[in-house]
Amino acid sequence: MSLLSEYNKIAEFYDKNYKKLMIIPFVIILFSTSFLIFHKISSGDFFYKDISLRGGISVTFSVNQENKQLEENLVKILGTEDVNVRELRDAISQKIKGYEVQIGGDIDKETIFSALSEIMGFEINETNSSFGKQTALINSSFIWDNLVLLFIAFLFVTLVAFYYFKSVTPALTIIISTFMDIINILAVLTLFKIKIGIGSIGGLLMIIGFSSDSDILISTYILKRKGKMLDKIKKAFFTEFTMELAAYVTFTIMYLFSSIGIIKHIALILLIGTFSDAINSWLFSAAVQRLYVEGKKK
Amino acid sequence: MKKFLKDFRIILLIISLIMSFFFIHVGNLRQGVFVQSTRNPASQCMPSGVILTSINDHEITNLTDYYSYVEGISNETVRVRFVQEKLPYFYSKEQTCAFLPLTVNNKTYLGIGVQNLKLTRIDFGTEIEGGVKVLLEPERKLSQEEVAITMNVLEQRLNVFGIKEMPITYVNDLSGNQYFKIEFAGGTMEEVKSLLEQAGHFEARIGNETVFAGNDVLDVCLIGTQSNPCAQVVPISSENGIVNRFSFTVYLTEEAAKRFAEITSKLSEVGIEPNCYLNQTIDFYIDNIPVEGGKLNIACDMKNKTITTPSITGVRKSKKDAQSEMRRLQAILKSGNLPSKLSIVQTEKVSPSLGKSFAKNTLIVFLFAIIMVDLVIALRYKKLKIVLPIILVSLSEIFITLGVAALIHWTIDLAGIAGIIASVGTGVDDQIVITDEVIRGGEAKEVIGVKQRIKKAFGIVFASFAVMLATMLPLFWSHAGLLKGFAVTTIIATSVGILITRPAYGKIIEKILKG
Repeated sequence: MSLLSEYNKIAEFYDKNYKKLMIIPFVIILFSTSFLIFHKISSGDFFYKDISLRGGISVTFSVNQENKQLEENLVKILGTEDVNVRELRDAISQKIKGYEVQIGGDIDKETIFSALSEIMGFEINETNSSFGKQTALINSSFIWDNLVLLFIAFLFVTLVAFYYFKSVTPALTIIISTFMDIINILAVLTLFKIKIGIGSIGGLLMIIGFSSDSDILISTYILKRKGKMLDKIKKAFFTEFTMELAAYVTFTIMYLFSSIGIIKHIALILLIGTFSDAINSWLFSAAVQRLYVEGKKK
Repeated sequence: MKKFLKDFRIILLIISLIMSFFFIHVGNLRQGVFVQSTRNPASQCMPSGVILTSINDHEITNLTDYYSYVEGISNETVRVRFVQEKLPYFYSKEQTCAFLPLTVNNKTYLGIGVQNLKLTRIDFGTEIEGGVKVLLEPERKLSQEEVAITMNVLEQRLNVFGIKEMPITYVNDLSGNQYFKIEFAGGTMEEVKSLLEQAGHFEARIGNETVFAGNDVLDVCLIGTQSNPCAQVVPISSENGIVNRFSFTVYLTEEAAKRFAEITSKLSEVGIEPNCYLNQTIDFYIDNIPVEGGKLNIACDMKNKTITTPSITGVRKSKKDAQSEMRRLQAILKSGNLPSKLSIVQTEKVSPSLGKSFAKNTLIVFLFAIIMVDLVIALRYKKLKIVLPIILVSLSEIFITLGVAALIHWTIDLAGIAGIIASVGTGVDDQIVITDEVIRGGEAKEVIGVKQRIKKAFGIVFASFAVMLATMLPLFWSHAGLLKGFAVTTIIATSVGILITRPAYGKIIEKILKG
């Protein structure tokens, strides 16, 4: 079968060149880290924050006519650049179903409702829309809290990995590889000016789980199974590939067809994360584990 | 085959599926409205959790029916008919009863909180069903006691409206920030704001005379200390054995104290010391609704005394009940003054129609995701006898997850749905690991039994479960519990996978490849 032989070719290429290929994840993580640091220096923040972190108002309303100038007009009328408009579309027909508008800062809701009514040409008020308000008050400790959360998650994962492999190197490698995924996700989101909010944390934690999961799988094949290395790699490759394909498919569908902000956002994080994980698991984590076993044999 | 069906893993899967079917309770096709809560006076004859079908022989088929009929109801005896489900799908009991409604602010008050009948028992929360969510933060850090009092005060205030169910939850996060979350279906934000800003009008009456009202209460002792035991629960012995008596001091204005002396002087004494009480009780009202259990005896030695610091006492069998009753009464009396001012930090209102379109969209995304993942699996394994079990097992996993959520009354919010969809993708992963391990073991030179291979595969599966659990647990302390829904659904889904569906899948695949 041609697909299988392609597969074998890739595995064989990987088997021969895995040491050289290690450069790729290092270049990527170097880029991501320096980009985030650059962003921090130039704008004061590592990443963009959405209104769930900074305070603001969100309004979601139904409409069946597109309005391309909605964002532009809102910026004009409200006199703030801090406006985010998201289209809600039908999952099947892709027809416009409504808009989700997020406005940061301290503009009161009456002003926003009247601006929206004026632009859309019909009355938008509290009864025919969904409306959310977030004061900046809630966010004072958010970043710190979530750093602690991520740290606890990492700690737990390290313990599990250490317990499973009974050895420090694989456990540490898995954690580093997962951590690199998180940095890459943040960098990609910031690169595309996508704002990070409370929902993002859920996605990030899920990626920690998913990514360490695939690392454990590959490591198990490399460290715990018997047989020739190339065979083990091929097997792990095949299983991992199917798993990742299933994950990509789910997350892509979630991202493309969901009209709900938080689901779309979590899906995007999972997509970027899975992609970064494919690179880091194979080119970094698996390679290090292999150097580790082969070093041990000598 | 017989042996296969007798395997405990298969039995467990089948039982779980059947139980979930009961818990989710699909297809409630009755006509009527769901009674979410009952309060005085309706609570005298009708429990909550039943289906109200008619009032005064007027058929109630939906919420609009209910409200339009209740709007014009007079304050004469009300007869209600309701259905109580004893065993879902099989047996329900129809009952009727009658009670006398109260009049509050010139309106007839029944004390019934209703909701539209739902198609299933799964609770989707305000984000999908439409409603209002408010997050309140106290101005300073509250102690556990104060948190309990605040909850009570809020509850009392919100219950004053009585018509709608408004659950209040307390959430805190890692940094020790404290929040109170109020969520309810229907209604507007203005309604909630006015509720929180207004104090329920409090009155204490003896007979028909008002002794003191909310503005006469200068303060209420909330927490007693060793040196000043102005609020305490102590065990005392009585005819019925050991019981717990609570007492707490309220600080009244001079006028109120005089009024108390004047009114009590007219009352006669009943019984002899120490069980001597005046012939009328002191009754508490909030916005003219009598407080349940708000009738207190007045000890004889209080008669005709100008007391500015009377103690309010009561007796309950258990210490816990006595404590909670004391808190409730403290809350009522202190209702005007919360331990700390609360400010609204987050408000959210979802219109029911948008919620419905969200739900529809999510369902489509959900189905689409499942179909596509199955397609990937089908392309990979190409054998129907492998593909079909994988699909069926992952569908059971979702179904049992929903069953568990319905059982523990867990609200599935949008983030929770994201968790479930994502688990579809990752849940299938483990099945792939198991399948690959089993198929490959057969091809490899190392000849080991199918059982052995499945055991090996489960090593990976268990490790991945431990990892998922490890990453989701911290979310319990996450910001204001906002992502708890996500964490809980993911944990339920993965636990169902590891405990029920994956072992069953292992058994199924073993049977298929062996047979």
